[in-house]
Amino acid sequence: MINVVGFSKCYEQFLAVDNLSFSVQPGQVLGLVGRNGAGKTTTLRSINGIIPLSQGTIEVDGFSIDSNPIELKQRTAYVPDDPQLFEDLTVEQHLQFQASVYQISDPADEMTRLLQMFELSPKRHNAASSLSRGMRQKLAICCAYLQQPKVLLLDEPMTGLDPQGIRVLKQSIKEQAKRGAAVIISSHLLAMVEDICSHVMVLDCGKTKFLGELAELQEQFAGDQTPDNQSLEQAFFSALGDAQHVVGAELGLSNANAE
Amino acid sequence: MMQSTTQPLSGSLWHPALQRLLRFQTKAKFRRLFASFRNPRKKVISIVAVLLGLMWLSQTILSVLFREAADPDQIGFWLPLGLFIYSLWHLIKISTRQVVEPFEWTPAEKEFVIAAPVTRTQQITYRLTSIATAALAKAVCFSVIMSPDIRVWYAGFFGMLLGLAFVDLVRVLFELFFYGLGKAGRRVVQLVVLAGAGGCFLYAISNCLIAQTANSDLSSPGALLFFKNFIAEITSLAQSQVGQSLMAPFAVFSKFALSPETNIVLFKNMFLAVGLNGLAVAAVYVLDRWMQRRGRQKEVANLKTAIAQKANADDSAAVQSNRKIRVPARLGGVGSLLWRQLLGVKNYRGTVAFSLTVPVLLSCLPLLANHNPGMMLLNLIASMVFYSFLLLPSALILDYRRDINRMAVLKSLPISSLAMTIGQLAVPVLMCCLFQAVVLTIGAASGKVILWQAILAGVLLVPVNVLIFAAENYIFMLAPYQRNKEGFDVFLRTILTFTGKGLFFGLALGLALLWVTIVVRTHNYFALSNWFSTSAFTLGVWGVTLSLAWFFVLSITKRFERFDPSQDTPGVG
Repeated sequence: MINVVGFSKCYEQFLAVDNLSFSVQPGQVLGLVGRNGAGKTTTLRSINGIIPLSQGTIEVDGFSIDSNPIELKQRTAYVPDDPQLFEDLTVEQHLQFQASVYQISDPADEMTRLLQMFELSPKRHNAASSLSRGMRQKLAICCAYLQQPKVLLLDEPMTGLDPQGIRVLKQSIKEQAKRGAAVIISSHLLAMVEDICSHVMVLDCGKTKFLGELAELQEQFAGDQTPDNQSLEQAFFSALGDAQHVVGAELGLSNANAE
Repeated sequence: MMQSTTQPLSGSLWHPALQRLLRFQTKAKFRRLFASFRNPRKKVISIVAVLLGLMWLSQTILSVLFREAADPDQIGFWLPLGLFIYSLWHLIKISTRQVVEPFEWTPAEKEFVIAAPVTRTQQITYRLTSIATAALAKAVCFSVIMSPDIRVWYAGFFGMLLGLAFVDLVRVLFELFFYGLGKAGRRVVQLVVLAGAGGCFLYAISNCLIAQTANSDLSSPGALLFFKNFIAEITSLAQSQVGQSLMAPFAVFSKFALSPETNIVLFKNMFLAVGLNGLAVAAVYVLDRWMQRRGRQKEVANLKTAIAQKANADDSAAVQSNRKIRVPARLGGVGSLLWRQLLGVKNYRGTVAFSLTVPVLLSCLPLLANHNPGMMLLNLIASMVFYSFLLLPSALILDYRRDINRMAVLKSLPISSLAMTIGQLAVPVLMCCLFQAVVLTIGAASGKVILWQAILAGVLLVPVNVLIFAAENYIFMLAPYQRNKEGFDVFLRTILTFTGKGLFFGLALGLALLWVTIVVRTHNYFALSNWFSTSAFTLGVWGVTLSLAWFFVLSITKRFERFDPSQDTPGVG
């Protein structure tokens, strides 16, 4: 479904993503993890055609970002980490706009379902400017889900959500994958990645450190650790080559505490 | 172990951290200004900016060197009147637009300054200092331009600085007062302001009309004469007892700036000018405290209303959620964008209506002259094009300029770049057409313009409107900026943009003149019919305008495709 080959992106002189290649099939949920500035958001934005590529090709459902950007976008939904909504449009008007752009003919039932699911029904006629951070996030997610995308790109989707919202979102992502969507989630919440992702990609300084199934990551990088340490977190640090650094930091902290 | 060394500093006006922030911001502004010149992505626009800057500078120097000093009495009258009208404009704008929080804190300031452990007084001092910094840049430019009229240079500079700072302080006072009022109070102020300003305007217009009707010798230069009469009426209003009282504070700055020599009168005016600013600053602190108190009272009242309404809210939401949802027609994406921008027009209908009323009234002025219908139509068209070019782009910000922070969202939509550009330009162009339709309708209804010619003119003007907004958006896309920002960089940008647009307008006028010369020569040489030559001229101008408009639309489309939200979105401060 998503096919990325040799993708690189630089900002001025800074190489943000370096020769990235991967693919995500329908029903798969890929977790994109890495340090701040690893290139996660750049990758997601490039897949959706928001920012131009410096090199490489990106295809969604066989449509290339270079030759068929409209068809690609028609099949893709992107939820940014900080949703920039149209401040004077109401919640319902945002969904109407989305329905219009993505040619959804009779969206009323789906709109009502989504608004109820994310507890936005009482805010249906409120302007986006009056919504809280979490509600803005929920609205952006509703807009993305309304179009029933084949590819779902979520950048830090849990930001600002309440526990109920997080639970609903996790469940809904699983449902989207079950429906046949290819999902990529960028997140620092490793527990969440562990919970819902079938695959994981560890990025560091724009390069792939690991790409594969979740179990493989744990097997490969947390090999001879005790069961307690065989967590995704331990594997993540090992993949980044930071195991020593983390242990050192912990020792430093305990020494300081001891003093 | 780290320890907090921060003192409360609650008694002082200034907090050192805010002083430092201001210093950093000022440095950053210049750094950003020069960095944009070094950015390879902005090489061309930087060269254009430098050229325009040089052009503006040389024109200013020439005008300063070769301009004769204006009559001291005239300038002594018009300078305070200018400052007064500028303040009045602020008052009208504040009382008619949607209520905004005073001081216009940027998102970063809300997070770092409002949330910081500093007193409200220190926050206000910080904001007033940034306002004064912006006034400083303006004062430098104004005092340079006015140097032939200024006798004592330091008085000229400080007089302008204090005068401009006072206007800004008056604006802040209006904002605080208006924000502190309740709904009913705001409505009353709105009515008083609109009735007062509108009454003066109508009084002046009606006096002009009476004078015009009484004078039977009026012929072709009627519009010019009307304009002169109008200025005379405004002058007499300003010279009336009430006018003099209202302008008295502003006259202090003008007297100080235009002091003929260093003497006791200069120092007296300087003392008064500084004192007025001091009073205004003190009034800002006092009014802000009142506004905060009013805010708390409103909170309590709102809470009561909210509790009373809460019981019904869920039921009504459930009922409303079951109704039929109308999806706007997509039309390749143009329809969706058009619908969304039209919602903006609906939400800001008061502001939009007011913004269009002024150009309608100004454009109708030629109707007061006595011309044959053909000449009248030409005058009306020239007037409409001029005001469409001058006033409407800043009044109808319903295009890319409104969406600079949502470019990532726009780019993610499955809409082609061309459709995106057309959709973004559609609403301002439609509103501009509406404005022209109203003027032409008034012309036709008054019997001074032939109806079918008015309709034809309306249709022929559509490419002009596209050109105006496409050029505005193209300039914006070349060097995007955040709206509602003030400061030296914005001031510089405004000057450069205006110079660029003026050049473009002059060039277009020159080309039109060249074309009319060619048509007239050809007409005389081949003894062509009038109808043929007129059609050839009109079609030529229309064709070139249409081609230029299309060129700009395609250029914006290219810019939108190349726009990288990660790199090209300007900082919000």
